[in-house]
Amino acid sequence: MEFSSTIRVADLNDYIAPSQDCVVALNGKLKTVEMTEEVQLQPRVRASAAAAGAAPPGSLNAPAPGDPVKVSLHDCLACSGCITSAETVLLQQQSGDEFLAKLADPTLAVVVTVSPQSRAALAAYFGLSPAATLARLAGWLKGLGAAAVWDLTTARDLVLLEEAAEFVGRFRSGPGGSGNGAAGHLAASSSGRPAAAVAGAVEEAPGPLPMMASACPGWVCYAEKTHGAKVIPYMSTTRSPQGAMGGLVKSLVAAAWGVSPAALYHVTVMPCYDKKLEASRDELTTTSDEAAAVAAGSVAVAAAGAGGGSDMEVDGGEVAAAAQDGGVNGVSSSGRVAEVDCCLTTGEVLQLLQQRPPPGCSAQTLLADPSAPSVAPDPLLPPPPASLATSVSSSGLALAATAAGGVLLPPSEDRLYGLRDASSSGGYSDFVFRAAARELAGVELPAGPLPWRALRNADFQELTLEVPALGPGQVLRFARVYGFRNIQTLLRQVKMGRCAYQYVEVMACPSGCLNGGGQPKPRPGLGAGPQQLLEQVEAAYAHEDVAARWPTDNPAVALLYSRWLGGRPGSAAARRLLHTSYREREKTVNTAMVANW
Amino acid sequence: MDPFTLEPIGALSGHDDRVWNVAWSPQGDMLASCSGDKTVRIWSRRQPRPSEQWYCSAILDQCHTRTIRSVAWSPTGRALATASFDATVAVWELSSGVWEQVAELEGHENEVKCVAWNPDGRLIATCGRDRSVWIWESMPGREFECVDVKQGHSQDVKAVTWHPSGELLVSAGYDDTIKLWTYDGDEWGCAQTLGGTGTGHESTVWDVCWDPVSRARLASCSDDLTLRLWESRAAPTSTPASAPAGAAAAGFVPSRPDLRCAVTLSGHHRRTVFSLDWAPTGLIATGDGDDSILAEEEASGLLTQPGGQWGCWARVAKAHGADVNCVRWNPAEPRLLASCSDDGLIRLWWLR
Repeated sequence: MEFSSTIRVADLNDYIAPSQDCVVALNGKLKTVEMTEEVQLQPRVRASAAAAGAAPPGSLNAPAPGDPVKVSLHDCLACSGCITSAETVLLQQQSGDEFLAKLADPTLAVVVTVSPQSRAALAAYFGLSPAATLARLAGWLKGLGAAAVWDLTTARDLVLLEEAAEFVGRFRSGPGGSGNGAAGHLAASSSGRPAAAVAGAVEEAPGPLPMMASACPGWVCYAEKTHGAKVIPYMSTTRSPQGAMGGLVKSLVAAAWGVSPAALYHVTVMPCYDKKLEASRDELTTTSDEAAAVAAGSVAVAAAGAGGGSDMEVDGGEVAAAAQDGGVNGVSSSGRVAEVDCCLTTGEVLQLLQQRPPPGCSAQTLLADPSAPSVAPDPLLPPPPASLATSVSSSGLALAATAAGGVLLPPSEDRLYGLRDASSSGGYSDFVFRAAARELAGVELPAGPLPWRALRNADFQELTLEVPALGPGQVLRFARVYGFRNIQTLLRQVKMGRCAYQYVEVMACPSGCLNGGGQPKPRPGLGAGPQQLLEQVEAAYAHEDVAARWPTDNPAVALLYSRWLGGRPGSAAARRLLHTSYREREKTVNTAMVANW
Repeated sequence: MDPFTLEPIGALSGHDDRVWNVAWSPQGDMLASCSGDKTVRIWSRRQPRPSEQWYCSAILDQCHTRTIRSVAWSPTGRALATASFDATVAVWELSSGVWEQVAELEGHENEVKCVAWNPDGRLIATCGRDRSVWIWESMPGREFECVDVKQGHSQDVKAVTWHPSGELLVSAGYDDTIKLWTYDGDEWGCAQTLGGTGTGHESTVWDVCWDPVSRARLASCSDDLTLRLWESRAAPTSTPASAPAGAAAAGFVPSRPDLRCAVTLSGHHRRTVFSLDWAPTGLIATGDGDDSILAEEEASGLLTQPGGQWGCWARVAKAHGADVNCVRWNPAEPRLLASCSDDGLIRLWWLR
């Protein structure tokens, strides 16, 4: 499988001796039962809808009567103590076939978000510019029945601003910051519900330094499972762009279209399989009520702007639950709805293209075919698709996505934007470094690539800046750490208290996201080996089509903050939607059970 | 009638559980042993030969929380690394006669099965049940950094050993294969895999060892009851041990290994062969699950049959009361052999 090596070290198919328990069974409930040496076949336990079929066949001690043991897919993958391999279940649920099936479902509106790394890989594959690639991809997706196609950049802009604000907050709150700021960043409960879901969540104490980017799910899964509480406090709570986009889609877009979050089937196109894992996280789920609360916004602007003709009334702070129910689709037995329903890798999208070529295009050229339909990607809050227009109900929220509302919407973009000269894995370290230099030391760094210096190998880089304004000998020291072996080195330094960095961009894949496991492989016979293909994809990523734009200059970002995100990065509303939490994943009963040695 | 005899000259007791591994210090003056009792014992000699009197001069404990499976000396003779089922590797240093733990290497997902120090003392290789091989670099200030983590084996990796040149790392395991790893300046890569497709061992490979003289032949032992000797394809087909070391070494380049199985020694063992060690005398000692120790060697002299003529020249049945886990020749005295076993004892043998 193509999960990054970071989460693959733990073997999901290991030989397990009898009486090894499923991770969930250990969450306090069943410890009183004596372990026996023999395998006991238990009747299949009820599991949540999301994990149907993943119930392990054996070695569960009998739960107390009436006490269903639930296994979430994510717990399953995070644990390695079971005989079943949950990978296959995950891959079936988030597959191209599932995507096609949902497109055919009349009760769902399928919406798609495309990551810039996937866009770059497809651009390199087809020999097109990124703008043309995205436009033709959108044309094809809309032709299949997708209701909206978005670029991920706006979500990433939001996330970068949050990450920078979070870093500056941490830096300022602790001198050097290597204290025990463990409080506040571990999830409050083990049920996995977002700790900040409740309106008015208290602002948590900032965590310790070094702050580590948490956008990479391979890294997050590994950290939660293998290092747990020793590492989780360092991880930034800011969501990944996928996580942020999921939150926006299921709250703002759902409300704009007057549907419940479950009626939207949100698909993302990502460069790796680990993102499927992220999509299945309990922490990245929502309910109709929570989504409605977000959409109501921190300012009762909706009430002021409701246009005529709309039968959606809104009251100051009151929120009416969205009336429409999405049915069973995507709603787990706990009532929570995934914010990203399905993540497809770039490779899987390519397979789908081959399976269902755009009309009029040959199977050899696909998107490269000049007759491939082409459509601009949508703005963040597009008008509801025709299929839903008739079912717009009195959901009580006047986001006034209808043009008649007269309220400013995030504008459509006439071209692609992104960060230039930043890492191709989101540009975290570059952006946060510049923001830190500006905020903490008043230094505005010149445009252009920052002078990163490779240390042990090309995937371990550091950047330093002397900041006399902060005190004598004060240095801003950031690192980019990619790949499992370098992550080991970083974690060693952190555990020994010898980490000299204040911020680390951690990515599981060597060479970063463009080299993710889900990207298309080199085409046989075409001569380009893996290294050359990577260079082509990098070139596509840095293509001049993508104009440089600072996240703060993105008008959609300004609008989103002013209307729904509390006015500034780090606000309570922003924390609710754009931040998440992590939790230690308990390993199974230790393998000392296996033998007496 | 065996031409050689392994004469028992002593038994070292003290461990409370099975002894998994023994290792001689590079100078041959100390023996380290590790055990299921979670300790390492250092054995020193009161007087030189002929009256062997070994005593336990140190016990390294309070470190690992589970069985210690393997122990390896640094080439300086003043540091040890221990690999444990608790998924960590500890590094110890000897200063002023006292052993002190100076580092702990974490990262393996589960039981670490073997540890090996490279010939210049700069790198440590470890392997374990999580099927990975890790390479660590020793940095100033008793610091260690992870150089690489190699996936490749499809099952538990039982043993790692370095080629004397330090350019080649060998790993072997439960997936019946032996993998050879080389460094390209940025990372380690698998340069060659021996076996696994019906051309090598047919079961778990437990131990591997280089010919210390020619440095061009690799010996491996396995659960399939055989020993195999691997040579460079460029070497002439029959290279008797008596031939100049250069002959076998001629074709072999450690950084570009191209080994093939030259000799398969079968019929000598009735149970899994757990350990082997190749002495400069040309003798390979093996320990097996039948509680026996054998010494095998290629016949020297006038007979030059194809593939040489390997035979078993000394056998000690019932060498121990249980499985023999490890056999090691003393590097300074090539006739002195140490063995350890599930019976909790370490035995010393002299080759006559």
